[in-house]
Amino acid sequence: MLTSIISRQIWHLSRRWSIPRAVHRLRYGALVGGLFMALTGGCSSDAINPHLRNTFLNSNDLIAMTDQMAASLASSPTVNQIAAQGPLVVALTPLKNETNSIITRGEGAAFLHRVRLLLAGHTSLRSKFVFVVSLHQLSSIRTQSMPNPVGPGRLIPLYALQATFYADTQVAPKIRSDYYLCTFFLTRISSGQIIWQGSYETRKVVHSSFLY
Amino acid sequence: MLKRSITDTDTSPIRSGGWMGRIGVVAVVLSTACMAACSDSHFRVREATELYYSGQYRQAAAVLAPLIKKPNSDYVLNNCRYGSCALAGGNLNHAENAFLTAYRIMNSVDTNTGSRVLGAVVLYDGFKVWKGQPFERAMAHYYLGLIFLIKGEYENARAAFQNSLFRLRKYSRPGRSLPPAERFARTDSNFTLGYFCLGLCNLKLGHPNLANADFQRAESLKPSLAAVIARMRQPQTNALIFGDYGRGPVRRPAGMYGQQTVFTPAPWQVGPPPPLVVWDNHHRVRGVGHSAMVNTLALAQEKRWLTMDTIRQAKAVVGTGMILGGLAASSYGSYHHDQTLALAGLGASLLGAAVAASSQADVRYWQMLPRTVYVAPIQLRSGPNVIRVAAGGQISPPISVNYSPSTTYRVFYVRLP
Repeated sequence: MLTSIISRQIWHLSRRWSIPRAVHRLRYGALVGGLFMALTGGCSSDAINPHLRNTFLNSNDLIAMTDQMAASLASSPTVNQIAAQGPLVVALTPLKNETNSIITRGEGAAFLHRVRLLLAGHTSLRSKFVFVVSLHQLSSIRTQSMPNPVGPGRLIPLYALQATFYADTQVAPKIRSDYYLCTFFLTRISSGQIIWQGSYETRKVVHSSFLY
Repeated sequence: MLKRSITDTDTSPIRSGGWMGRIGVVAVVLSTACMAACSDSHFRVREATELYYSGQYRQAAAVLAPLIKKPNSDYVLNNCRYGSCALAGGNLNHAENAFLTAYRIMNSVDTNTGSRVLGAVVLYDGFKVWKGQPFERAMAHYYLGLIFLIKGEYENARAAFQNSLFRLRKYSRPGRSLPPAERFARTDSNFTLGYFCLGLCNLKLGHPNLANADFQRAESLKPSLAAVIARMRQPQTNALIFGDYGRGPVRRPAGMYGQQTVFTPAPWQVGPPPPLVVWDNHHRVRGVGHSAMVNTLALAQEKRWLTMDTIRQAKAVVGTGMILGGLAASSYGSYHHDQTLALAGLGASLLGAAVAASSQADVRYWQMLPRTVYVAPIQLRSGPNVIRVAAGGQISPPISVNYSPSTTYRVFYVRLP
C-alpha cells in the first residue's frame, strides 16, 4: 500500500514539475549502491573471516606442547637412568580425548608423533629411544603384506608413550571458555608404572561479537 | 534555473564517460556475476532437495558437491545440506568432512568479515555467514556425533553430542531475577536426543555414573523414552538404529516487510510423529514404537537468536516512519507549491522505503532436516540379518548385516523419505 502511495506521489509531482535533476542524482546513488552490493553481497565472494577465533587446540598449541614434552622427556633423570642401561623401546598409543572438542585420529596422532620426531631428531637422544609401531598397527600391516612379522628380530616394546587431554568447558550465551590440561606419560608396560609425565595447560576464551 | 543546473551537470564524469562511468560498468559486471553465481546455487539446492526427498541421496550429494568448497555466506549451510545427503547415501567420510567443516565454523566467533557485518546490518540480514538457528546447530552436532558413533569413535562422538547440548543452552527471560548460576542450571538444554546419545557414549567409554545422569535427564524431558532406554541398556542389545523421518520445519518470512521469520508447520498442525516399526529377518521388533527422540517442528518454535531480529524490527519501524513523514511533507509542499519541500519529502519517503526493504529477514534454512529422529535398540542374531524400518507409511530399503558375537556394538542410520 505504501509503495503505491509513493508511486502516486512521484507521478503527481512529475506532472507538476520537471524532476530530471533528481533522477540524475539517483544515478550516483544507484552506482554507489550497485558497487556496495557487489562488494558485500553475492554468493561468489569470500565471506568467512580468515581470522575467526575459537577455543580449539591449534597448531601453535601443538608446537609449544610437543616442544615442551620432548625437552622434559629428554631431560628426565629417571628416563636417562634407564636409558643408560640400553635404549628404551617405546610404543605410541592413540591419544585419549576427554575434552569437549573433536580431535580427529589424524590430529591426535600428530601430538604424539611430533614428540617422537623431536626425540629422534637429536643425535644425542637417538640412541636413548627406539620407537616401534604399536601391536594394533602391526596387525594392520600383517593383514596387508607381511604373513608373520613377529619374528625373532622383532623388538618388543617395554614402554608406552601415552597422552590424555582433558578440558573444563564453560558455555554461556555470549562466552565460551575451555581450560585444557594435556598430559603425556611414559609407562612401563609390564607394571603400568609411570616413569615420566609432563603436562601442558592452556585456557582459551572467546566472546561472541555482535554478529557471532 | 533548473535548466541551467542540468547543463552544469552535463560536464560531470558520468556524462563524459569518466571514472564514475567506469565504476558503474564494473559494478554492473560484478553484480551480474554475483547474481549468476547465486542463481546457480539456488538452482542446485532446489534440485538437490527434490532428489533428496525422492530417495536419490547420492545424486543429491553430487549436485551439491560444487557448492561446499565455496567459502561464501552459505558455506556452513551447504556443508550441512551436503552432509545430510552423503550420510543418507552411505558416504560416511564425505559426510564427516562436511559436518566437521560446519562444526568448526559454528563453534567460532568473528566469523564474518567486516564488510559482511556492515552489509548484514545496513542492507540484508542474509549477507552474514549462515550458522543456523540453535536447533539447526544442535542437529549438525548430532549428525557429526552419529557419524563418529557409527565409526566406533566414542570419544569424538561424546564431544560432538556434548556440543549439541551447549548449542541449545539459553538464558530464559522469566528467570532473570535468579542468580546467574541458578538461572543457567535451570535453563539447560532440552535436546533429548543429545542427552540420550551422550549417555550412550559415556556408557561405552566406561563412565556409568555420567551415563545414568544423562539417561535420567533424557527420561525426565521425555518420559516415554523410559522403555527405549531400558531396552538399550539390556546386555543382549547389540545394535542401535537411528532413523530420520519426514520433512523438518520450513522457514518463511512474516511481518509487513518480511522482517520476521517463522518456522512452519507448527507441531499441532501435523499431529504427533507416527510410531516406528522395525523388522529383523521378517520378525517385528517389539518395544520400539514410541522411540521418537526429537521433534524438530517443536524445537524450531523456540527461536532464541534475537540480535538481528531487533535490528530488523527497528529498521521496519524507522522505514515506515520515514515513508509516512516523507509523504506528509511531500503533500504539504505540493499543496503550498514548495518544490524543495515536496522533493525532500519524496526523497525521505524513498529512503524510508529502502530502509524498510532492507529489514527483510534471512530465510535460509536446512532443507534436509527430518521432522523426527527415532532411535531403536535391537538385538541382532548371529549370522545374516535383514533389517527394515518403517514409519508413517514409508519403508526403508533393507539393511543387510552379517553379525558375529565378537563384533562390537553396531550403529545404523536410515533415512525414511
